[in-house]
Amino acid sequence: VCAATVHQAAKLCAKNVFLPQSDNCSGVAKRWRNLSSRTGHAKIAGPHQEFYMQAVDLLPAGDALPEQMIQRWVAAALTEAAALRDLDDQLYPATEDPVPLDRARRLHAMWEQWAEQTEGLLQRIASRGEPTQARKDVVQLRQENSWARALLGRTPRMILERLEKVREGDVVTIEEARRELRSDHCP
Amino acid sequence: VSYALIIARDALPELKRLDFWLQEEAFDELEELAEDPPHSSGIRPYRMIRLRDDTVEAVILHLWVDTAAATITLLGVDADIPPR
Repeated sequence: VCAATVHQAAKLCAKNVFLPQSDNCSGVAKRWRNLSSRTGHAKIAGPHQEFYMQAVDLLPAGDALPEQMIQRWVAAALTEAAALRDLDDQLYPATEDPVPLDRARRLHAMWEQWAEQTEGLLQRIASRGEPTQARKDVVQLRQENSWARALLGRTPRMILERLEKVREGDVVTIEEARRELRSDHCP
Repeated sequence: VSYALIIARDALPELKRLDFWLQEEAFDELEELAEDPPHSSGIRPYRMIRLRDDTVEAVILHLWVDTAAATITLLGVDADIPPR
């Protein structure tokens, strides 16, 4: 039995667990959008950014962090990520125009800084053991961090080059793609 | 209105690097997106997450949405998957 058949059967029995993107931070992000639109600021991220992005290193060394502290710091990290995600449409400009390309590069730098700080925070949290690691907000932060790491491997320039090839017609249909990938598993 | 789905040829090897079941999940997500497409054009990362055996498998599908042409093009695939 080929993998494609097994996969389809498995999906009929039970879907893989899907963790939907949480809306925990949407209220904060919305307030920030309202504020920035009123003040006319075209900032890259929220007002708490300088706090979170630079303060993780200041967490007290050695001791396990108290639960309430973890809750606050994880919330700050998730709020930061939500604010940065509001700017997703600026991550990869479809043009060589230097202004949007520069904004994209700055945004990537901010994600990189966020990921560095978040990995530091997650390491501190890991020392508290399994129950804390399994907290919903901590799981969500690990997801965000994984996405950030995946994102950081792809520069705006790489996407522009890919777009250029697509515009030249170097594409396949989804049916062709499925056939090719399945043929690897069902020879 | 459903959109046509297009795959950049260079995205194929990136899809192949995913486990087979994750490839299928990515195709399913793309088809769902094509049925309910975004309302504005542009390139944006689409985040996909799956949990398997207690590990988080995070995938980014880089999509180019063209509302005028009614197409969604998969430009690339990036993943952060812990080693088993």
